[in-house]
Order: sequence, then C-alpha cells, then structure tokens
Amino acid sequence: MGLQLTSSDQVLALAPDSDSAKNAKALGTTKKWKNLGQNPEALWGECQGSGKDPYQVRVDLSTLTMTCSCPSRKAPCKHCLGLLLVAVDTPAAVPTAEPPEWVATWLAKRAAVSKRKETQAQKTTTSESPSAEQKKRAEKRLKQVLKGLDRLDLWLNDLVRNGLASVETQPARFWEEQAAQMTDAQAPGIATRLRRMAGIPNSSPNWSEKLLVQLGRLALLTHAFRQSEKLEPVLQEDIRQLVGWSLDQEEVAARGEKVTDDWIILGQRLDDDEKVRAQWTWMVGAQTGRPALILQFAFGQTPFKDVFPVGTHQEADLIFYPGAAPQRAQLEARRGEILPLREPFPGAETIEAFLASVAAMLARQPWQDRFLCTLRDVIPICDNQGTKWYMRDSKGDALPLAKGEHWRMLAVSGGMPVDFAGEWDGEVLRPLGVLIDGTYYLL
Amino acid sequence: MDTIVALALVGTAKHNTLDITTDTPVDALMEQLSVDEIERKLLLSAGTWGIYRQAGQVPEAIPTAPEAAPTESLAACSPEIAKLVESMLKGEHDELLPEALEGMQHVGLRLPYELLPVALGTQSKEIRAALFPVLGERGLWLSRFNPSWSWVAQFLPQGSLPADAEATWQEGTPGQRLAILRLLRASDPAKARDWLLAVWKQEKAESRAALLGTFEVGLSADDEELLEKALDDRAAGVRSIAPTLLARIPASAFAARMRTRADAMLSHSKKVLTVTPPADIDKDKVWQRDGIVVKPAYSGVGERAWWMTQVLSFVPPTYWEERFGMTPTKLIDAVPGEWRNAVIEGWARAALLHESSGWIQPLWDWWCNPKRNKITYGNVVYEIRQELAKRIPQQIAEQRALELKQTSSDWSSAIAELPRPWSKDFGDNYLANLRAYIGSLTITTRSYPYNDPWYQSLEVAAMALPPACFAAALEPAIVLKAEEDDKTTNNLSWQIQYWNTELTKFSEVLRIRQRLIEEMA
Repeated sequence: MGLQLTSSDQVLALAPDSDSAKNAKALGTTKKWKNLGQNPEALWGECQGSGKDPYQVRVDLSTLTMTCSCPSRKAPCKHCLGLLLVAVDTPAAVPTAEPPEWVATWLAKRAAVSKRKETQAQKTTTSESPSAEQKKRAEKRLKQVLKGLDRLDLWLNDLVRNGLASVETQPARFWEEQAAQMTDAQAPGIATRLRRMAGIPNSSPNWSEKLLVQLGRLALLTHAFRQSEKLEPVLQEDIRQLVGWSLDQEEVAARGEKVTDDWIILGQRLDDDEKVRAQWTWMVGAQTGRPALILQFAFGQTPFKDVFPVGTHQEADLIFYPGAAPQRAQLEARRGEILPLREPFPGAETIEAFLASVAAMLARQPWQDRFLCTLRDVIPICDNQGTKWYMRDSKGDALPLAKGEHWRMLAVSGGMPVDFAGEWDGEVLRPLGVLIDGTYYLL
Repeated sequence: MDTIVALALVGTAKHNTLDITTDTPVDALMEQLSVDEIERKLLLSAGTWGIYRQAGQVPEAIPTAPEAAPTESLAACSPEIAKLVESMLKGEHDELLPEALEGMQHVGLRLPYELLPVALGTQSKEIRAALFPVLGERGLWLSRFNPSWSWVAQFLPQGSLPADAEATWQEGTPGQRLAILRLLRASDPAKARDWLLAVWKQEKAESRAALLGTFEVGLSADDEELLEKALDDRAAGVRSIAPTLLARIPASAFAARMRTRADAMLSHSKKVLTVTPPADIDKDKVWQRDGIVVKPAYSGVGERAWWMTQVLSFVPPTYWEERFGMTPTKLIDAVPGEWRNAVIEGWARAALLHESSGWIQPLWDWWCNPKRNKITYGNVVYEIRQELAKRIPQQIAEQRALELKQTSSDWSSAIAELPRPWSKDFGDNYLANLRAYIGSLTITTRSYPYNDPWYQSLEVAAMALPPACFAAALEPAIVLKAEEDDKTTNNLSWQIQYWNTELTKFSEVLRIRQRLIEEMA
C-alpha cells in the first residue's frame, strides 16, 4: 500500500502545534536522514539529532501511527513529521526495502497487541446486566443532576426577571461560576454550553437576541430532560448526552449504529484553549453520503488515539453515537488503505437543498448547532474588497463565510465552480477545503 | 420576537404588560405547554423560536457572479520550483528571488495559483517588477479584488491605451491611475499633462509626486511651466522630483539658473581649473527653491562642498567639455585636491542623470581608485560606483576587479558591484583563487574571518557565479580543515567554524540556484 499522503499540507496538518510544523519543515530534507526506507506496511528513517545516536523514526502506514526514539513528549514529534515530509516531497529518496530489525520488531509487536485487543473485545461484548451497586450509583447521579437543573432553572429565570442588559458588564467569572456548579452537579454538557455563552455579550450588534436564544435552548433542554419519558428513546439518548452522560467506547459499540463506508476526511479543527485538547474531524461517507464527526480528546501533549489525515479517504467501520440525528461517531476498524482524495465527494447540489437537510436534522434533534456542509459546484465570492465573502450556487443563492482571509480559496478557484466542504454553525460557513480538478486544497 | 428580546433585556420584573408572543407558529406550540411562570415561558419561547428560525433559514441572493479568470497562456511551474519560490517569498534566501522569477519568465512559466496571495502581498518594488510576468492571468484577475494588490495594474503592458483609460484615470486605484498616466505620456504627453493639471489641486501630496514622476516619459519644454510650479509645491516629495526633471530640459530657465551658478564655481585659465564653492546660500531662498538642500545629507561633508555638489549634479557634464574644450579624463585630472571629491561626485551624479555616456568610464575609473584619489569612504562611494558599474561593459568591469584584487583590500565590495552573473572566465578565476587561498590559509589568534575580503566575498560570489561555474564551485566542496595535532586548534575553532559556516552557506545557495536551473530546463 505504501504512503498515500500527497501534499506537505496534509502532513503539516498532523502537527500538534505550529512550532512542531515549523521544526518539521526544517527536517523535511533528505540531507538530515540516513537509512530511509519503506515497504507496504511501514516507513522508516534515522535522523541525526543533538545526541550521539540518531533518532529512529517509524510510521505504521495502515493507521499512520508514528513513533520516534527522541525524548520529545509531543506526538507526533518533529522527526516523525519530518520523515513524512521527506517521503511526500522526495519519494525517490525513500527506497522500497526490507525493514531493519528495529522496525520489524515494532511492527510485530503492534500486530500482536491489536490481535489481543480484538480477542478482548470479543470477550467483553458478552455484557452483563448492571449490578445493584451500579444501579444505585446511577440513581444517585440522576438525583444530583435533577437538583442541579432545578438550581439552573431558577438562575435562568432570575436572569430574565432582572434583565439581560445587566449581563453585558459581567466578567467571564459570572458564567464560569455557574458552569462549575453544573460540573459539580455532574452535568458537564450543560457546563460547556454555559461557558460558550460567556463569549456572546457584546460580540455582535444583535448579541442580546443570540444570548436569549441560547438561554432559551438551554431551558428547552432542562425541560426536555424532565419530560424525557414522553420522548422517543433515540432522542432520550441525545438529551442524556447533551446534559453530560458520556458514553464509553463499549457502550457506543453496543448501542450505536455501525456504518461501513469509504470515509472521506474533509477537515479538522483543534480546540486547545483548555488543558484538554479537543480535535474535531469531519468526514463524509462516499457511498452513504452521511456526515460524521469524530471528536477526540487528549490531555496536554499526549497524542490523539487515531490519526486522520485530512484530504484522504479510507474504508472503515464507524459507529455512530446513538441519537435521533446521529452525527458524532467513533472509529471501530480501518478496513482499506489510506488513499488521497481525488474524486468528487457527496454534496448538496444547491444551497437550498443543504439548508433543507439542516432543517430535517434540527427537526429530529433541535439542539444541534454544527453541521458538515458539502456543496457541489459553488463559487467563492469576494465582496466589498475582501471584507465580505460568500459561497454561491448556480441558482444565485449564497451563504456567508466566516470572517477571515479567504484569498487562497479565491485564487485556486479563479471564480469557477468548485466542490466545497465547510462547517456550518447556522450563521456562517467555515471553509474546510475545496476540490478542484482532482486536487483537494485544505483551507 | 423583537418584543420578547426587548422584554428580556429590560427584565420581566420592570414590566406590567407581559405579552410573550413571537408572531410565529411557535406561539401555538407554547400553548400546548402548561408553563405558568412568565420567565420560563419567555425562555422556552425564545429557544423554540431560535430553532424555528434556524430551520427556516433563507439563503442570501447574489444574482450575478463576477466574471471568472481567463484561461492561462503560460504553464504552471513545477511543484519543486513552487516550493523553492514559496520559501523565498517567506524570507528564506529571498536574495535569490529575482533570479528565480526572471528565470521563470524566461522559460514562460507562471506561479501556481496557491502561491498568488503570498506573492501579491510582496512589498518590495524590485520583487514586484519581477513577479508581474509570472503572475499569469489568474494573478491579474485575483489582484482586482484586493485594494492592497492594486500595484499589479501599473505593470500592465505599455503601449496601447485601453479604451476605458479616462474612466480608470478618474476612478481607478492609485496604482492603476499611475499606469494610465505613464501610458498616456508615451503617446500624448500634452494630454497627459492636461489630465494631471485638471486634478492637480485635489490630489494628495503623495500621489502628486508619483504622478509627476511619469513626466520622465516624453519630457519636453512644454512641461516646464507645470514643473516650475511644482518647485513651489507645499509637499517636499513634489519639490524634490521637479528639479531632476527640469534639469533635463536644456532650454529651461531652471537649467540656465543652474549653469549660471555652476559657472561661478568652476573656471579654467592657463591650464588650471579653479574651484570656488559658494560662500553662503542660506540667505538666498532661490537656491532652495531650485531643490538645493542646505544641510549636508551625510556626515564628513562640509556645507560649501555639499552645495556645490548639488548644483553640479544638475548640469550636464558635456557642458564642461564644450566650455573648457577638455575631454572628461582631462577634466577629472584637473580638479584640484581640496575640492576633488565634491566636484567629481557632482559630475558623477550629473553623468547618471543626463546619461552622458562619454563620462561613465572615466568617472568609474576614478571611483575605483579610492586610495590613489583619496576618496573618503562611505556609502556614497559604493552607491555611485555601483550605479556607474551597471553602465560599464562587463569585461572591462571584471578586468578592473581583478586588478583591484592585487592592490586593494577593499576588492570584495568592488566585486559586489559587478554585473551579474559573472562571466565564466571571471568565475573560474575567482574559484581557483578561492581554493588556493583557503588551501593555504593559516589561522592565527589574530585573524578575524569577517575582516577577510575572501570571507566577505563568499556571499556575493554565491549569487553572482554563472551556472557554468556551479559544478566547479560545488565539487569538491571547499572546506577549511583544522590541523588535527595542532594544539592551538581548539582556541581557533571558532574561526574555523565561522569560515565553514560561510562556506556551507555558499554551497547551499549555489545548490538552490542549480536546482532552479535544472527544474526550468
């Protein structure tokens, strides 16, 4: 199979931060490397660092799992990325070869571990019914959450009674305190929503309307949670997850829907303003056309569990979290090889059709606020000297783009129709990439 | 919904009439909920309304899309070239950028689309000129959308004036207007002058200066009136550009005024050239009106000498040939010692301004001999010498640089001024000498690499060696070896390291240039 990444952009998108990307670029030249080699399973090389012995760098090509013998705690480290850059930029410098001993043993060990996991997984699927103690714990948590929500509702009412105008001058602590209480009440999903609201006051001319709507949606959530027995079971799943019941992998595997498809990785976003880094990866199924969002979390510098190179596709089993309009998913198994994205991906033919699909999703799960937007044959429009940007379809309908410099997209499009992928938050589109003549440009 | 937002902003506590309706189907839904508390009802209505609105979102309408970019006539450069140029645009070895871009233009390649935003963001005038030919149709198209990229317009092909020239002149960006005026100057200078006159008063100082600069195209006596007026302009930028133009109109009153002033400074009788710089000009604002600056622009120059240099720099040097019946070489030799620098600098500047070809080589010869001619060092010398060197035939210039190497420790700056790329002969000669020098170099505690002209020359040579010399320069690599058993080696290691760092850089730049040439072949 061999390495299927095609551009240095794709490689650099795997970097944990901009410094790593910069340092990796410096290592992306053949001069820095010895004993470079690859075979269908792996890619390896030795990089002379500041120490006596060169660092040994290896990449498992089926999953893009990378390791390096350097002491850096960043993952992937600059050496791993540097090796990938060399392989992408100067493939001739990385000959096909038999893996040296230090690569072969590593590959063998990985194969053994994954086999052990498989057998373990088979064992655990025989689930047992919850013990009495587990039941008791669950009941206790439910009580705690309900108590927390009661307090939240009182607080919400107070806000409206005293007027939202007073919120304008409140510091971030005002929201943080309430969020912390929700965390204590074991409703972290609500805590996250509250923290997000801190950014709304004064952020736009109609901030008061935006804030009121968000507070209202929160009220709807507590309302729905109390009445959840009246709702269909799948929506109950959503509501529990929104309030903060997290599902572990086994639960998702047991209750979620498994979809096998050729998954196209369209874009990625990293949130690392807190101690926990969150990675959002947007995909679409080539056959099913289903959007999928894979959220991964990691503490500090620890790497994310799975590597998803943007602008590639791979046959894989995803399991969607149970819910009324499933979007979030987890990776169950990779089936095929990682291939570069060259063919058009599924997308709406018109903006009208895309907005209709958003409405349909909202009808099933009204708290969703982020959607994958894939559009066929749309034109980027630069208006008012680059201060306003749109994507326009062939009918003349347009959606505004997020604030920013979209010059690169305009340059590669040349004002001609492109296939577009972006994230829609109900107000603006944030571009992820465009496909033009078989090349996917990351944005 | 607006009423609900207003109510929520002020607070339900301060209101008596509490009407929670959104005038949407949401109200009917809310009826079905048995919620008594007014605050709760308000919140639930607002939340539901938010979802209702999001689900019913209507796209904006953009009836017409702007015209797409035209088809390219040039091919995109290879990804390898693109990568090199991109890193140069971002500042890495950007000294190689002009060569890379000119090479691309030469073989008819353009930049790939992705690089255009970075390229268009370039600030340097020199690089912009080199970028223009490789922007392709896409680059021209793209530049129209961003006001800070309007510089592209001024490079649009000279020659025929576009049909909408007048509209562009009235409404275009500063860059476009400049380009149009320059074009018009070439075909119809009088009309261009009329256009500029019509808007002269309302233009900003900055653009007045830039627009007036186009008068160097099609300059004639008819322009004198406007240029004389420009001498009294409130903006210093405009005032400084007018004299250089007026001086080039031989019949102008300005040229006559300068000649009169200069005549009082230089006289020739009984084979002696007498130099009499002005004693004082401060009282006389007329000199200043003609662009003579009172305070010397660089230190080490006396005021009187400075005034004289400026006056002489406006008078065509051929004037002195006729007046005194002497050749340029004889005139240069005749200047007495005390004022030699000031007079010859004035002549050199005048020769450059008036393109007096007969003067270039004699002047350059003089500037190349700083020791013999007791030229006080300074950036001025380099600046003038470099300008003169550009106008000297390559072979002569290189020959002179070789001679200098024997006599002057300053030859590294002389070779920096040579036209590039060097001839193969000169390159081979340089490399042979470099190898010999490095091979026999003994480092002592008192040798400082950065004072060594060979060390100083490496950066220039890496840029100036012609492709025909690359192989010889790179193979085998030139390195400075430390004597293994030399006890002093450790103390000298920093010097050796300095040398080898510079030598590595030398090879690195050459290798990049080689790759560029190979990729463009």
